[in-house]
Amino acid sequence: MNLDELIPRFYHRLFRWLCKPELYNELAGDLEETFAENYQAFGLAKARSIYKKEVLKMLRPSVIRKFRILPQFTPLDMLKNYFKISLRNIWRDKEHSLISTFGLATGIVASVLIFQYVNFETSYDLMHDQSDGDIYRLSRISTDMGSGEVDSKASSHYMAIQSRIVDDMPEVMSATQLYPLPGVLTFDAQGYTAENIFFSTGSLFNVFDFKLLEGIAIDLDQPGTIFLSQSEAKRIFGNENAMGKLISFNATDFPWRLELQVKGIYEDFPENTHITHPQALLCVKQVNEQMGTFFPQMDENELKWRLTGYHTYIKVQSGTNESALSSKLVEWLRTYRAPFNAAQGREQSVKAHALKDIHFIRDYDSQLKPAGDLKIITLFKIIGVLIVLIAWTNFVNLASAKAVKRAKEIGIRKSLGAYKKQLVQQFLLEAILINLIALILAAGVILLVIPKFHQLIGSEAFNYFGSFIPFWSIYLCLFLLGSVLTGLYPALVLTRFDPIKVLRGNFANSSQGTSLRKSLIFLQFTIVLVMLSGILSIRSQIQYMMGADMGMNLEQTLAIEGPPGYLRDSTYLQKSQSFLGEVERNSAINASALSTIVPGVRNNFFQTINRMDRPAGETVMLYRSFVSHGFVSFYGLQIISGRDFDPSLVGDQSVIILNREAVERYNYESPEDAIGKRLDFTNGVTPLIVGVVENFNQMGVNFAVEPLAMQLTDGGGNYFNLRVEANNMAETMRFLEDRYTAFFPGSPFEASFVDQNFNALYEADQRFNSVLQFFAIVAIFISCLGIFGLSSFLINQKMKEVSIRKVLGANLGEIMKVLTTEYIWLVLISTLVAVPLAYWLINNWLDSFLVRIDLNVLFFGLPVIGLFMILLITIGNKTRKAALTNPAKTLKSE
Amino acid sequence: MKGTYLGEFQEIVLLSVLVLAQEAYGVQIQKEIALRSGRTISRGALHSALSRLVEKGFLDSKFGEATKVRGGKSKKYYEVTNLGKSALQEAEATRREFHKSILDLNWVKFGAA
Repeated sequence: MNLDELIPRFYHRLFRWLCKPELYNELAGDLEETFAENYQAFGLAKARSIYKKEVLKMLRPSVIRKFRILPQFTPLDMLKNYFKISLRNIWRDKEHSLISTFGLATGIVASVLIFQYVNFETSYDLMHDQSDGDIYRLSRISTDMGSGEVDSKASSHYMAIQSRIVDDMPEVMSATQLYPLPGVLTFDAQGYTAENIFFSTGSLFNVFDFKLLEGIAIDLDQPGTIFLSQSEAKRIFGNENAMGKLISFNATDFPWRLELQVKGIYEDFPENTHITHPQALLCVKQVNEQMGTFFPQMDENELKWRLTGYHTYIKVQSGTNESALSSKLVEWLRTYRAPFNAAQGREQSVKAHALKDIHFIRDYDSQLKPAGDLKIITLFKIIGVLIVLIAWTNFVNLASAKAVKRAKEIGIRKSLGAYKKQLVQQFLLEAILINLIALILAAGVILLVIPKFHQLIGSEAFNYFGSFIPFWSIYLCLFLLGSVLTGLYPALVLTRFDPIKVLRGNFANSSQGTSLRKSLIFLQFTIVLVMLSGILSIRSQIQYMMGADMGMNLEQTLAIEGPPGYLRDSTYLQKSQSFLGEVERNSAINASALSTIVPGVRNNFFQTINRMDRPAGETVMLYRSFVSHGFVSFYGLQIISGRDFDPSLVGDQSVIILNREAVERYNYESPEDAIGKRLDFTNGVTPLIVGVVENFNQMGVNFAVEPLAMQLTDGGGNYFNLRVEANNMAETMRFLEDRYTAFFPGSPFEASFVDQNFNALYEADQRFNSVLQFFAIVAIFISCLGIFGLSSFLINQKMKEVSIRKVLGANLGEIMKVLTTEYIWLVLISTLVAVPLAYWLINNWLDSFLVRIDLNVLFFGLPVIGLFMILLITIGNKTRKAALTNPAKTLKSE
Repeated sequence: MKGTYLGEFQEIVLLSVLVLAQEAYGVQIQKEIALRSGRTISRGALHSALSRLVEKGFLDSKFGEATKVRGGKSKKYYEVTNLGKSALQEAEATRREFHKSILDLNWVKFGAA
């Protein structure tokens, strides 16, 4: 029998195919010989199986031959080669590579920062599961029944709503309320100030998905209960278990003390919710009761349907229509409120706002957190995209301009037989490499700047990076796609070159890709111009608001906060007057006054009040304040009729001074006409109007002036207003603190200059400005890089032209002109587009301010001049060098 | 040039080539190792060892006759070079040195007991 037929055929062939030819004879021969012996010794089956195993064990690198698909090299070899050449190219032209990489990296950094901010801002309140029902906030809208005008909108509502709504309306599944009240938590004789304490209900944890870590939610409905946030529990109790501990609560604004037991710990609220993270939650019933004691003249029902300030949230069955719900709610509220509405001449109605919209609702008062601005978010989105565009634009520009430099290389490669596809691969790889380097560089920079960025935007957006992984994956994909595309264009342009033309050497003055380059530069210039105009106008608007005459003297005015409510007693007024008397004896203190209002801080005390001589129904939402003698002159308020409070008249305790706005709202014929008239403060209090002051901007020029009544304080004030000498501030402050603590032991000394309060009012605008400024600088920087890189290439290209001109007698100025004309034209065309665009955008933005600046021609002119300057500085040096080069040098080179 | 270090398996292969003298080709070496050390090795593993030894210069090879049982493929005979022999001696010496010191240690231990 022939052995050949017994050997497993497949394995035999496999081995023959895989084995290196030079080893085949030896190895295959040995295998076959072994097979023959095994066949003799163990029989066919065993011999075959041993043979198979032997073959398989033979398959090792030293035996298997090298396979080659192409005769000369494998794809891997070629890739290696591309890689090597790419790295060499990147390395050889360092200036170009640096500019490309830097531009791209800056663009990536800026866009990642922007998009994370945008993501964060648009993620507000999305963490609550609403599959089992939709969450709405109930807001209050007050309409004057006479004129039909809406006179106030607030994000909170009446006390009674929560207790009634679930029973009355079947679609409402649960409801909760939050009543914010700052206070001090005391444990073990140690006080902890807590700015954010909410009085609420156990249903808070039904409506929202806030996580209760310990305890049960319904315990919150028991008076005497306190729930602490995780971080607050840690602050007060350290690592000890807080559950069951006894704590006392003191309200900051009035004397009120509660003894409480910790019955729950909840996870800190995330930052991207419109509900400020509360340090502690208390039972809402307790605050309801306390409010009752403030308004003894109202019965329980009236109190419940008149007292507002309760942030109210409901969860309704899924699929309830928002506007249908709102109108149903309006009807429902009317059934309870009708008598009060009639008495006040105001319809108080209700509007339901879907949870996801709340963060961007701006025109409602008393929001828990300052609202976001959708316009700004959109603007940032646009800026983010634009910055990436600018960066890629640069990249494309630089790469296509560089094409010329590499034309010879391509020509030679082509004539040596390179396929177009191979050349494209080569250039694509180069582009992707630069993009990747930029990406890595950018990632490093981002990690470094995150803390600074958080400071700039005022929130910790990057702590929530994890929730946006899907977005960032898409971003990364788009980025990589973009880098392939941006690499493709120059690659295609480059590889189109005709090798014969290129090698003959008359390629340098061809106009490959010029129009694309020009339009891309035009785009960059336009973006930069619009951004610069934006910065200028935002700046001057803010400066205008801060510097505007507010009708009051704010110079060197220090406001010291009075002690918290629970530390005040019947002797407080007397004490505070003697405190002022004592500090005024210091020569550094020039004047002083007591007041419940202070410029730059919102006055929250208002009441609907009638004129005595008019029927009910014509009411004004009147803001009230209590001041000491001398307040009017302290702030330099201008009395336009009547008189100031007079210390010699005891009866002045029950008179009031109005501002002009109040006089107008009450329809008095003139400020003089108001003098001697009375208002009806209800409960038989009917104060006489003795004076009218000119309007002053208590809240800065960007808030409407509210109708205001001032009366003499009878219980002290919340603020000590002091006019202090500018020199020796530190010493004066030490003196004040020392005296303050002597008079009011146990209360913290907190003093601020009132103009700083105003600065805080414009914080959002200032922040917007600085963010915009930052990104504009980034955009300008990238553009400069691009223009710089591009112009140096183009100028190199034009060297011969310059030399010939020089030989023919052109002087330096003329040559400079020739080289820069193109850019100047581009700036001019960009100006034509940018100015109307910027005008429209800025005008739109300024319209959101009550008091706004007029648009100035400088806002549009300065950026253009600025751009010219930047441009000339960027390309000037190169141009000058080119113009000064000895023409013989360039001309002889070819 | 790779080092002259001799692995344990390589040493066995070298020794068997020496033992087989004129008859040292793949199958025979495989059998010899199986016979003397009691371990079966694949031809593939043997090939790796042989080629490495050739690379190191410890073995020489030449093609021999083809037989029918081999399907007409020629054998390849291996022969230990002088370098290979000295490497073997060196390995042997190193080993002996170690053994000696272990014995010495044992002796000391016994003496102390």
